Amino acid sequence: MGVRAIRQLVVIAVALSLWSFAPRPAFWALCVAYVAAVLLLSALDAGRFIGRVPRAAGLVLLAIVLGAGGLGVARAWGAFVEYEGLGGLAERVGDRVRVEMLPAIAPRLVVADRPQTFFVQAQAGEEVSVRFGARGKLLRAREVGGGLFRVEYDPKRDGAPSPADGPLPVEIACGGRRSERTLLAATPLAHPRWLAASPDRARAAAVSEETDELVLVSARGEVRRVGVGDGPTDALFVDAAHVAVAHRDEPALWIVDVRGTGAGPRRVEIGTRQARLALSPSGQRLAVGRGGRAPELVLLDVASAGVAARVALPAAPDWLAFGADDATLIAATRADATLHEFRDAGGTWREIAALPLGRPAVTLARAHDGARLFVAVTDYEPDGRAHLGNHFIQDQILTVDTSPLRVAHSLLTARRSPRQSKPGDVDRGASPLGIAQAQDGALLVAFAGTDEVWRIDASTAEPEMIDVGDAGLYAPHGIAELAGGTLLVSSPATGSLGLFARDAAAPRVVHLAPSDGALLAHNPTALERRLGERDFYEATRAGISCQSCHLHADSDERAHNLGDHRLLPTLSVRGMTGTAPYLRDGSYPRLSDLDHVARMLYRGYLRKTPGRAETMAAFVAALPRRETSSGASGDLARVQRGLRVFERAGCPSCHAPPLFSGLGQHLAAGLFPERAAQLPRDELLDAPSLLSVAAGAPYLSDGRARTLDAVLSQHNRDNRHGDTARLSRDERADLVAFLESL
Amino acid sequence: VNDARHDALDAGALNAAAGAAKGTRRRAALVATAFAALSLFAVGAWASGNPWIPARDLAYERGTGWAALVALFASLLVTPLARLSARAGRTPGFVLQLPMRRALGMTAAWLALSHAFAALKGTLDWNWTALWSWPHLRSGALALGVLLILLVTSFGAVVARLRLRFWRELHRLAYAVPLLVLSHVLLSPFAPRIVALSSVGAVYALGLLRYLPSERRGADANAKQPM
Repeated sequence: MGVRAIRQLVVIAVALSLWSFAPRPAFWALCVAYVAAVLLLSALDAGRFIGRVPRAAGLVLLAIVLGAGGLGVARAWGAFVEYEGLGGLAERVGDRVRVEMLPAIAPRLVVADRPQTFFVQAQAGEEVSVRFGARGKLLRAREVGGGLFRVEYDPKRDGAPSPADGPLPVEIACGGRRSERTLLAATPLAHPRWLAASPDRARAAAVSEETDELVLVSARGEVRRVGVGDGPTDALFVDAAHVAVAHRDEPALWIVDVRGTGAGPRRVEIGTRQARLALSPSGQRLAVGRGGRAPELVLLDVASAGVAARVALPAAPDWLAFGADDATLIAATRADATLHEFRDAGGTWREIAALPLGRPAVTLARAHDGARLFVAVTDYEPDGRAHLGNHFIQDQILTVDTSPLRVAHSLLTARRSPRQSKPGDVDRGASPLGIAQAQDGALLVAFAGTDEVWRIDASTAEPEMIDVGDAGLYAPHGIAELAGGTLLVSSPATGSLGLFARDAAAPRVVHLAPSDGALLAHNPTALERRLGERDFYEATRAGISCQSCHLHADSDERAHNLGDHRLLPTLSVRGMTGTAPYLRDGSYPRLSDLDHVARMLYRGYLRKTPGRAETMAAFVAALPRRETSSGASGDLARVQRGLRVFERAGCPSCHAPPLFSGLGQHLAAGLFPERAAQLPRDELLDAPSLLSVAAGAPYLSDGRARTLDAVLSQHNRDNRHGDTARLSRDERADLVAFLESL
Repeated sequence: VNDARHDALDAGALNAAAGAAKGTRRRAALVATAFAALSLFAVGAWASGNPWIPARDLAYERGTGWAALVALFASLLVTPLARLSARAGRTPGFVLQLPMRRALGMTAAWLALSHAFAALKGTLDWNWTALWSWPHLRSGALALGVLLILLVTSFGAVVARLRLRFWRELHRLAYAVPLLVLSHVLLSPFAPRIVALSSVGAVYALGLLRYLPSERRGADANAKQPM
């Protein structure tokens, strides 16, 4: 080793030693230590000393100093990585590189249970085709303009992704060139959710939206699985022999004969995005709640299967129930967290009352007589306002009189102290997701957060509790009482149904999806997702779960105090894969980091599960993006004009196609100077992906814009969030049409 | 003897740059200045083509940043390429000599300063605290700080006044700057990651060429060859 090398090593060793005294392990401290070492050694005239020390002794001394410095570095490495923002760098750089490497395709997730739209960025004017998986069809992409292509993929029509789960090779043919990109495939398993008992309680029905099935279960545990249309969302018995099935992607409501006569279903064309069903007390009217661009209630005459009325709604209804008669219908809408009561006045349905709850109805059930509804909410303020407590969740079941519409009673199921640092009584009764009324009038409630079922009888002080988690029925959603008082409980996360008979020693569990053991052996990726789904619904020791605000991985569309005394709207956690880093400010580089929130802020979980962060990340990564109503059928010419406006306004600088995000973080005060006084000076905003943006109202980080047009006009007064000031009204409308097509 | 020799070498290297043939120095300064001027002109032309002020600000920021990066990387590649050239039996031209490296390094510092000014005036809106709050701004500011230190200590008079006996070791900090730049770019909102990763990777990979054994040996060679 030459003298020059020894001198250099001495400088490094001294610098590392000095660095170990630095108040913060950081790049700047390292550089300052290095310069200080140079100055110190220069001042000491150490060059002469280095020359005089015997080489062997010098090397030993050097090794000691370097070793000590190295140990200091190793000890401080974690803090160094965190301070310099280098944690999860591979993920965030990887996601960004996927967007930059042309041809690029987004979103990154391919799910096997529904049609999806993908965007490809390639050379303008080329012919672009995409093949999902080795056995998929080569699908022709349609150019929107400027090298942006759109490809529609329907797994049922074009072939399911292969492999079904995990990394999926995707071939993109541009002109004569072929490129391969890797997306993430997920094939969901059966998910039976809410249960509807037949009038005679001999059996119950549930649908599995993921596997397009209607599932019928008898009180004795006999199961029948019937294939139905695309994306069944709800089912109920219209009589003992027929079940109505609503669909997400199929324009027809199906009425299925479940007697096993072999008769095909009766189809009633009412349009896609059917969400929820309700049957009138007489059984003559069927109400269907529809979402999409024009949410509405569709009233059907059961006997003729004809549409009797359509009632426009301000937002998609999450839950429906008839009141005491056929002329009263109550719809729970999430967007305004309100119960709306409609009344049929001679064939015309009018809204006669509205009851704001402050938080949306998580689930809703009708009492036998229809005079009352049972509504689960995560909090309730009589004035309908949001609770200002930090991340405040207090699960309760409201008893609502239907005439007049008012809250008559509230039953707290998980008592939470106002300050989350202090324990409440939250190890039970968290996240009620299923409610039903038993024959004897008792209330049956399934709690997804604490894996239990309560039977609440007004005559007894304490509810009767059943730990359904003991039977492997984690995160229960649906509950129904069948003949003989047998309880049927659904667990979508595990794809199973459990029958709890009064006199049986043990519950009978029916598996609609492979068991954990089978998945471990043959599909560990699906098992990881399943465990993550359980974790998503499981309550922390603070009585709050992910589900509490992110209803079924979506948003409760409420604003919450997230700890800095500002009310911020809940974000959907769908379509997040490939968009690292996460959260509004991009402070979490990996999905698995989100588990940190639960552990550090909410006192951890009751159940100690190893690898929770990874399984939760696997579940969230496999959630498809929110659906928007406009798609390939939109006005292409207008969308193309909108894309040109998008480019002219400078939007791609931060919302780069095909992901429509550059995955960068921007100073909030710089983007919105007009809001600078209300914002922390150094607050960063993560540029969100604009895919599915139409489904994401309200807009901007604090939800201050109700519409996309408002984002471009009244909330961009300083013209820094895109050059929108010089756009005409028509150009803005074109731009909005383009954004809605994403 | 060794230490005296190495102190002499440090001074020798610096003096080699300062005292090289006047023509070489002048040409190096001219090339580096022309590069800086052309870069700034190109950035100005690019920016003026956009009437939207934030886009103009961004053009200045990005343009000056990339120009600084090019100057820095060119400066770091002078020695390895000189070694390669020497191995190939060619006499390195003035662009692969010490004065050029020095001039490019100084240009990089000036362009980085322009970049910082453009960012502060533009997207940061003179928000000085942000420089310290966010990792990518911190590493960018630190890279600039290191370049300025190297700029100041690139003059023989300053080195003599400071009695910097470890001048050579101090200037090896230049090899840490691409890492800081990489951190700055990878965490920043706009810069293309692929370009950043590949260019920094190429600089370090080509930098290994400097360890090619030299054709010429001896103290004389050490004093005359670029480091």
